[in-house]
Amino acid sequence: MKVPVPVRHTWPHSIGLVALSAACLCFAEEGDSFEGLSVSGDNILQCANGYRDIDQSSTKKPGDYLTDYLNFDVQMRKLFLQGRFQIDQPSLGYDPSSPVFREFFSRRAVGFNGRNMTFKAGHFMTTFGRGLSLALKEDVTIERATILDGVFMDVHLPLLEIQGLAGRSMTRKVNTVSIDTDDYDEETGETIVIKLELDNPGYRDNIFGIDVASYPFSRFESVPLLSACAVGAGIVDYRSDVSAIKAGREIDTITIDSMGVADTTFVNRYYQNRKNTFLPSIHVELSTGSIDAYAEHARMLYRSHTFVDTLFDERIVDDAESYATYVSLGACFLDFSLMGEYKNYFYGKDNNQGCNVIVEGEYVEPPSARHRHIWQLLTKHVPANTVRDVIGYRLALDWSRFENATFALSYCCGGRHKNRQGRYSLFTFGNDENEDYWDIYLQSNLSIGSRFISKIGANYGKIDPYEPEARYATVGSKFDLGPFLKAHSVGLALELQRNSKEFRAERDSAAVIAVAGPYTPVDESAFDYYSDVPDELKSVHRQWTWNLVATASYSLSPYFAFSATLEKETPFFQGQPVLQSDVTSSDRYYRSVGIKVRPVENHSIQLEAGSYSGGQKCTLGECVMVPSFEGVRLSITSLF
Amino acid sequence: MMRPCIGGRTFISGALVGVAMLSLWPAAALDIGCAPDFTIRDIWGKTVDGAELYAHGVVMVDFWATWCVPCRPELKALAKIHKKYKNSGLTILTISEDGVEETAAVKQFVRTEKMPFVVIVDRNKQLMKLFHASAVPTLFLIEKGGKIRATHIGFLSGDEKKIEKEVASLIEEMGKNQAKETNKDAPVEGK
Repeated sequence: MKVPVPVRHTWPHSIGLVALSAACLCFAEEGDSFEGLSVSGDNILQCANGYRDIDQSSTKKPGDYLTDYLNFDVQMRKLFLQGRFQIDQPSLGYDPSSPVFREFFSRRAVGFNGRNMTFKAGHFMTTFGRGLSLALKEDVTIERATILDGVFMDVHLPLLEIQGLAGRSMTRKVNTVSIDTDDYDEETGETIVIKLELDNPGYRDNIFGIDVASYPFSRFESVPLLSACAVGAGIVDYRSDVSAIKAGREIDTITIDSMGVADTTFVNRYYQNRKNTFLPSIHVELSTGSIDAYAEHARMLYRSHTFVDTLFDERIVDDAESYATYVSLGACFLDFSLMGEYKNYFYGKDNNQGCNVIVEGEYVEPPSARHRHIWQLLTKHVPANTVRDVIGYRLALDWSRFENATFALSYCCGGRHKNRQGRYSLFTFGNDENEDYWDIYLQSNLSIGSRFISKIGANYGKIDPYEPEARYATVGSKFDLGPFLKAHSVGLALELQRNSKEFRAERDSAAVIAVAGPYTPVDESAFDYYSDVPDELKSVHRQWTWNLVATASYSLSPYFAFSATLEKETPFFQGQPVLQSDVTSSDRYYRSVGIKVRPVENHSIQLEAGSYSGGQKCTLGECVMVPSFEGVRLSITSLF
Repeated sequence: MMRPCIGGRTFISGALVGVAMLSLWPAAALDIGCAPDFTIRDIWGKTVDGAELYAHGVVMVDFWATWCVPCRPELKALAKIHKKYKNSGLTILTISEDGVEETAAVKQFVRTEKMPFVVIVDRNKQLMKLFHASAVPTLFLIEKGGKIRATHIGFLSGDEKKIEKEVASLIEEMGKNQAKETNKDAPVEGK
C-alpha cells in the first residue's frame, strides 16, 4: 500500500541559500587575497579493553576497542575545510556479532568564515532561539549528537542576525519501528501481548529552516536600556517519510487466556508514517542593567500526517497542532538575584507520538481507578551532585551578601524529559514526560581562598511519577580541599550526598499499571477518585542512602598528574513500595586510577583503569564531560 | 582587518595523515599559534569581534561553566586581575559552556557573582572547537595582534599569581612596542 504524500527535496532551498550567501559575500567582505594555508586540530587515539556506556545496557560493547578521532581544521584565509576522520574498531576480538572495522569521515564541512558571515556545506549543528523549534547539539557523555547534513548560513550584521539551513538528519539510518504492548481484558480474563520490531528500510527527511533576529537599537550603545533588545522569528519545515515495507516479517500476538494457555499468531504487516511538519516560532529578548526578559513561542503544525498500519487496518490522515512556550525573567536588586523560568509543551492530537500521557490505574479490593493528567511542563534544575536534568518550573533566588559565600534557593515544578537521550532528538517536542513534580532546593557556596570550596545543597520534593506518594529529600555537599603544597600539588575532593525517600501509602496503593498511549484530553475530575485501602496495605516506608565520591590527586603541574577516585552509589529500588519482594537494591562502586603525562605543551598521554560513572568529572582543578566506561583505556591527545 | 599574527600552526602540508604524524613531534612551548577570529553576540546582545579585541590589546579568553567548581575561584581571581589591568589594555572574555538553553541560568550566575567581564554563551560549543579546548576552565592569554602566548588548563591554588605575572609581562611588552612605534613615527630632531 502506498499513500501518495509528496515529500519534497531540499535542494531548491539549498540553492537558494547558496545564492543568498553569495550575495552576502559580495557585500559583506573586504576581498582580501588568499595568503597561506593554516592547519590546526587535534587527534585523540584511544585503545581500551572494557565496556562503554556501562549505564546503558542496550549499547553495552564489551571487549577491546580502538578509536581514533582526527579533528582537523584547514583554513586558507577565510575558506575552511573541517572534518573528523574516525577510525572505529568496536571490538578487536573474535566476536562475530561485533561490528567490523570502520574508517570514515564522520564529520565533514567546507565553507567560508568571514567577519560578518559563515557559510558551511556539510555537517553542522545550530540552535534557533533557545531551542524550542530546533535544537541540534552534542553530549559526549552519552555519545549522542543531532547533526544535519546540508548547507548552513549564519550572517551577523549590526542590526540583524540570520541563520538559514537546508539539509537532512544524519541519524536517519538508526531508526526502527518497534511496538511492545500488553493489555488485559477483565471480562474474558485474557492477556494480549504484542511484540513487534520492524526493520526500517526507508527513511527520508528534509529540513529547511531560517531564523532572523533583529537588534534594532544596537547602534545606540550609549543607551543601555535599548541596546540589548532583540526581536526574532523563525520557521522550520520538516518532512519525514518513514516506511517499513514488508520489513515486519511477522508480528507476535500472544493471547493468554484465563487458564494460562497461550496462543500465538503471526501477521504480516506494513507500516508507514509520513509527516509534513511546519514549525514557526517567535522570540523576544530585552535586557537592561538590572532586568532581563526572554520569551519564545513555537508552534508545531502537522500540515499533513499520514499514518498507515495494516495490522490494525488503520489509516489516518490527520492535521494536528501543538505548541511550546518558554519565558524567563531575571533581575537583581541589592545583593539578591532572581530568576524565573517557565516552559510549557502542549500536544494536540498526534497518533504517532506515544508516551505523552501516563495513565495510572489501580486495582485493589475494592476495585478503584485513578487517572492523572497534568500539562506538559518543563524547566531546568540541577539537583545536588547529579547530572543535569531538565524538569519543572523554576524560580531561583540567589543571595551574595558576602564576597565568598552565595546562598541559593530554588523551586521547581512540572515534568522532565523521558531520558537524557530524549533531549538529543531532532525536535524537543515529544521527548518529555508528563510528570507531577515539585522540588525545593537550598544551596550554599562557600570558599576560603581557592583552597577550600564547599558546595552544600539540600532539596525536598516529590520527584517520582510512579510513586505518587513518595517524598524525596537530598542533602549533598561537595568539598574541594587543597592543593596543600604548591610545588607538588596534592588535592582531595569529596562529594557526599545523603538521599532519603519516604513512601506514604496511607490512602491508596497497590500495583500501579502505567500505560503509554496517545494523548486524549480527559476531564480530570471524572477519574480522580479513590477508594479505601485495607489496613494491611497501609504503610509508611522510608529509605535512605549515602552517595560518596572521593578523589585524591597529585600533580607535578603541568607535566604529570595522578588521580584515584572512589565512588559509591546506592540506587533506590524500582517498584512498588508496598511490594517488598520487588526490592532490588544493590550498591554500585566505581573505582578508578589515572595517570596523565604531558611531555610537551600540546601533547598528553593518559592511562585510566577502573570504572567511571560518566558525567561531569573534576580532577586537579579541571572539569571534563566523560562517557561512562569500565576497563583500561589509553588516550593520546595531540593538539596541532 | 589585517591580522599580524603568524603562529606555530601555520604551515603548508599536502596530506592530512602527514599532518597527524607531524603533530606527534614536540612543539615549542610558547609558540602555540594564532587565536581564531570570530564574531558573536554576548549575553546582553552586544557584538563581540575577536579581531577587533586582538587589535586593541591583551586579551584573556576563559572557558567556564556554571557547574564547574574550580571555575568559581578562577573567575574571582580573574575579576581581581581585570580590576587591576583593565585600564592598561586588558580585555577578559569569558565563554560559558552551559549551552544556549541555559542562558537564563548563566545570566543568573553572572549577576550573582557580579562578573565584570564580557560573557558569551557558546552556541553548540563552536568557540570551544575553534580554540581546540576540551576542559573547563581553560584560559588563553593572547597578546596584542592575536598570538596565543599561554594556555592554562584547569585552575589550582597559586595559578592566579602565575596568570597575573604573565598578564603584567604582556602588558609591559605591549607598552614597549607601542613606545617603539611612537618613536619611529615621531619626527627626528634637526630634520
